Amino acid sequence: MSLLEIKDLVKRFGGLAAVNGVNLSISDSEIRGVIGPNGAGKTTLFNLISGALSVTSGTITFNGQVVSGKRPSHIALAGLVRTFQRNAMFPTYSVLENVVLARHSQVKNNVFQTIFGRNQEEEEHRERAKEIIHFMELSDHQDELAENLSHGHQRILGIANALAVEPKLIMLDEPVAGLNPTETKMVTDHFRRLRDEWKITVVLVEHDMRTVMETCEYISVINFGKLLMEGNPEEVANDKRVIEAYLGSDDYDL
Amino acid sequence: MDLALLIQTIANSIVAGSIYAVIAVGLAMAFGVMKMANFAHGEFFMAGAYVVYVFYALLGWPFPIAVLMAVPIVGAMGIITERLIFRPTRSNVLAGFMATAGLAFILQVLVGQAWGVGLMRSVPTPYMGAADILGAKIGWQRVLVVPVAIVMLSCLWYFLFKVKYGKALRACAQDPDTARLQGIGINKMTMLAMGISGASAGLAGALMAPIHPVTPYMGHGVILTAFIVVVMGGMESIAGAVLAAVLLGFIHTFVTTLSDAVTAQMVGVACMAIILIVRPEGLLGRVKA
Amino acid sequence: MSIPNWKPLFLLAAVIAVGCAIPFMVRAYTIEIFILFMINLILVCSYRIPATTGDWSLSHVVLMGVGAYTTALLSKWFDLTIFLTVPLSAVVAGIVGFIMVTPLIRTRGFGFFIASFALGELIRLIWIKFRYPFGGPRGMIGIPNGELGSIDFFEPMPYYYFVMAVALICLIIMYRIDQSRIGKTFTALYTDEGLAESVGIDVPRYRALAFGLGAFFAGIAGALLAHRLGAVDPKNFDVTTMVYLIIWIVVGGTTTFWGPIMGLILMTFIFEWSRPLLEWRPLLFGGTLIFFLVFLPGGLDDLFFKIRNKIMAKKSGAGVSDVAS
Repeated sequence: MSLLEIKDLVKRFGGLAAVNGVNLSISDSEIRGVIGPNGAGKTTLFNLISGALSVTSGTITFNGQVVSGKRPSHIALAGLVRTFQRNAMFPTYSVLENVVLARHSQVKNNVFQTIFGRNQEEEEHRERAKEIIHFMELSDHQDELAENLSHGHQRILGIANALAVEPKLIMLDEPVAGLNPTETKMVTDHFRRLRDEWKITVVLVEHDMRTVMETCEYISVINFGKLLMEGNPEEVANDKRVIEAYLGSDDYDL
Repeated sequence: MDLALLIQTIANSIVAGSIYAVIAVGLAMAFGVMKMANFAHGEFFMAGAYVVYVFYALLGWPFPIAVLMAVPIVGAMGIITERLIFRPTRSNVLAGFMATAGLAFILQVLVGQAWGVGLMRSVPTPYMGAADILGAKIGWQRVLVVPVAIVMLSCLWYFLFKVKYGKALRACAQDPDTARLQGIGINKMTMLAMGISGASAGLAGALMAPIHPVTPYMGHGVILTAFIVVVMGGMESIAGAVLAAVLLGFIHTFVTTLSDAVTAQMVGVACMAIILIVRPEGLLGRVKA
Repeated sequence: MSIPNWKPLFLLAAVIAVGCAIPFMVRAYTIEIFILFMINLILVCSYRIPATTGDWSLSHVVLMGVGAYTTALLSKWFDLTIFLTVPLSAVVAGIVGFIMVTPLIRTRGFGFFIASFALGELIRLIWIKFRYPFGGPRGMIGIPNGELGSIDFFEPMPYYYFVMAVALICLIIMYRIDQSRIGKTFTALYTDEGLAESVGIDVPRYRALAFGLGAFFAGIAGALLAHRLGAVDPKNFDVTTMVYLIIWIVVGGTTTFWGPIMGLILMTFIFEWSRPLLEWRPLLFGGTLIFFLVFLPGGLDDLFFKIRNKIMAKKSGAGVSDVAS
């Protein structure tokens, strides 16, 4: 059953088509990787799906709803949540405050109730936030200021923030970029748990081949704004077209 | 509107457009080079008018000399403003803009204390009589504005496109980082831009001294008009500023003739609001990708 | 809000007590100054609400004017009591604020500043142009001072207590907003708009909410002012007044709720003490604005915040970050 359906997606910047007719389908409970050499259009595709960029043509359907053209916040509330490479969190708030803030979208009372009313709801959300922090193994740093965390922990906090929105599908934007091996392992250990324990579909848009090969079960390869091929890690590693695409650029490190 | 009135209004529009162009061009340049928005631009205009008041009305120097004095004096004021206010706030456009609001207060008080506030100073008209152009009557004092504006804008064009420093200024406006890599000193450019900005505002004020009541607060009306012009033309486009200035000159004059000055102001402000919301890059500005 | 702790409540009670005592300790003329001060207190805190989302506007004082003019019209046409004109004017101001911000939402930072200036001026020019119903350039007079039963608010002392009560209510509400998740959302979306959107925060909606709330409370300030002066004049709500408001905010800072209040207190003192300087005052204020923007752009509350952090860091030693923010 297709959770995220992308049909004939095109994005033009002036005369240049960064995404040039992409068709992609992601099912429930997948751990999918989306890779491609630099400039292939992965980032643009990512931003189109999350609503950060407007679509030139084509449609993006999530969970039966058309989300192309919607605001990023509405897409997030529909259950399609993304993380960021940089700025994964609000630096001047603590870890707990970050996740509680991200819980905001789940709060049901309106302005007046917030100002004048009691806040039992707030307690529930705080508890859920702590649960999420515990799941991501950040409980020890709960009251630390986000900006004081290590890079690896900051990325994990970014994922925690995304989880606070109760996603059905989480899109991770180069989650291990710039991390050392220890930090990388810290982050990747959670991918499988997200899918297995919390039933969240995981989509990884990544540049680092090794991470993708080790953690993803199915991989889509993008080049020149189009889908090049799809398959499991072994198929992708041995595909001539993929090897060529990467050999043609400087990022070949399979 | 009968033909005579139409010609009169067109003639007045051209005069208005000319002075708006001279005022706005400096504002557009400063903003284009390094996002320097000068709230006190109207006070620079006012300073130019006072230069003429002092040299021509009080000291009796010839009018053209008095006008020319305004150029370096107010130009220097522009450079000082750049050095003391815009440079330290370079990273924050809004902060620089607000700070120049403080500068406006300072200039108003200084001028008011020096030459009195309340009673309007009047500068006697050096060129009496009116020209008769196709039936329209315009005082020579006003007619003078048009050729001076044309000369000033031509010189500016020549400077920006044919002179080394001018070309460097344009490069800086288009892409400050690349410009820096090419060895163009940003600080020199910003000082130059503000110098020209002040000089042109001062020139405009000097020309208007015999026409407009000279008070420390005469800058108030000017700053709004200047910003409307610059926004309409595209915040950093000098050509846009000239185009918008003429356009606004016509709009203001025609609406004033057909209705009244307040309505003309309203139409002008409404134009600005519409442009900011519908096409924020203005008529000739670049869209920021 | 769990168990309220006693320290801030004690402080609040002390402030209220002092506030109640003041009219008995000073001349009638000084009571007027305090009345104006409390009205400005509401104004200055209301400006902070949209400022926390990054929307610094030049139209805020005009929105205060909307409150004032609404009060004038309500009093003249419907002879309403002050207890109705004030909240109704606030609602009208809030609505006008919402309407204004709708086109403005596409702009940010400097663009927002200038566009808000344009829209504000447009409203002001409407007051100036239309003698009916706004009284044109001369404004409107004959606004009743208000009364409570047999107590006439023409006298400064009764009106002082009325304004104090209103100011207290307004500030408490604004403080609660600031401390609530809504207030935290405002600052969060300013810190990182993209991140805020990604966690489901509809940024334009929240900016509009902040602007509307700011306008609402500005309207209250305007209504209170109109009743005190008995008149409204478009000149009361022009750019010069707006720049004074900006000075209070810049000097105080917007980092904390108390920033603008500190700025207002300091500048009110300076304003009153510099009376002998007469016409040189605007120069003093202009210089203060420049000084702060160049050397202390965060304002006083940011300065105190940094000093406090330095002291805390020295006390607990390097590397230990158990100071809860």
